[in-house]
Amino acid sequence: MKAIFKIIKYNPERQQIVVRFARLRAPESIEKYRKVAINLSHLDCYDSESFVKSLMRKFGNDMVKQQEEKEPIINEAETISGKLNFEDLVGKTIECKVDESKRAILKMRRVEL
Amino acid sequence: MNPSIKRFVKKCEDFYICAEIGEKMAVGVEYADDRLTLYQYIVKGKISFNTIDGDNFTREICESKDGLIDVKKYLHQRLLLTADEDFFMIGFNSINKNVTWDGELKTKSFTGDSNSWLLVLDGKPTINGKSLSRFDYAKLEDKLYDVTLNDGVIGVFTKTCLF
Repeated sequence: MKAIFKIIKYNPERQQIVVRFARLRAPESIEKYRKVAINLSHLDCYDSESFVKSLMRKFGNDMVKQQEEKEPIINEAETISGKLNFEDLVGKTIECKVDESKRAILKMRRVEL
Repeated sequence: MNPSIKRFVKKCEDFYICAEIGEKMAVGVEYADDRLTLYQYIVKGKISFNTIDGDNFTREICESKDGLIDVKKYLHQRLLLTADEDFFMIGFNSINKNVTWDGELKTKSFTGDSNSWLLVLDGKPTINGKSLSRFDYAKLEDKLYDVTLNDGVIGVFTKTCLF
């Protein structure tokens, strides 16, 4: 998932910025999302890359996740567990997580000896 | 680009198997809640298991010649993995935190136990006339298993107790 932010105000005396965050593919303009004042002493301002990373890690990531959680659920879904039966699954909408881990499925084979 | 570790995992009936392939100098972290591995087998290379607890630091260097390595001492501990060489490692994990297992490598024919599972860790051994490959696994029964190793490596894991 990609995010965006917009600095609305910069106060050099107070070393403070006011920022809005949103997802890149948010359904509304970034102007519609909440703004937050951030003290630059909390961020790594060594260069642009460090600034963006620290801004997102300390503030942006959580705000963007919260925005997504608040959005309405259009597709009612259910969870599944246990024995897999494709016949039962046809036509159902299943809830699942988008897996961001780097773990892949190991291919194994059960044999009878 | 930084050296990396790629992780694989597969849930089987009573246990799960993990495998990691990493490049020399790669660093991996396992948090206490995720550290459920009971046994490791290093197929290739050399890797260090490091623990840091306050001022105390421990390092265990593991490699293929160590055979099946009992790593229960690291259960539910923070573990820092550092690759001393390019490596390929396989881990046997309990699904249930309250169940423990005993593992051993089999080099010749043996009598099975219905609480045991067999896992091919390397090579192409033949058991009871069936040719097997790495990551093939089987539930064992109370019967004789005729093994031709063919330079393969076979692990047998037996559920030993419920806490």
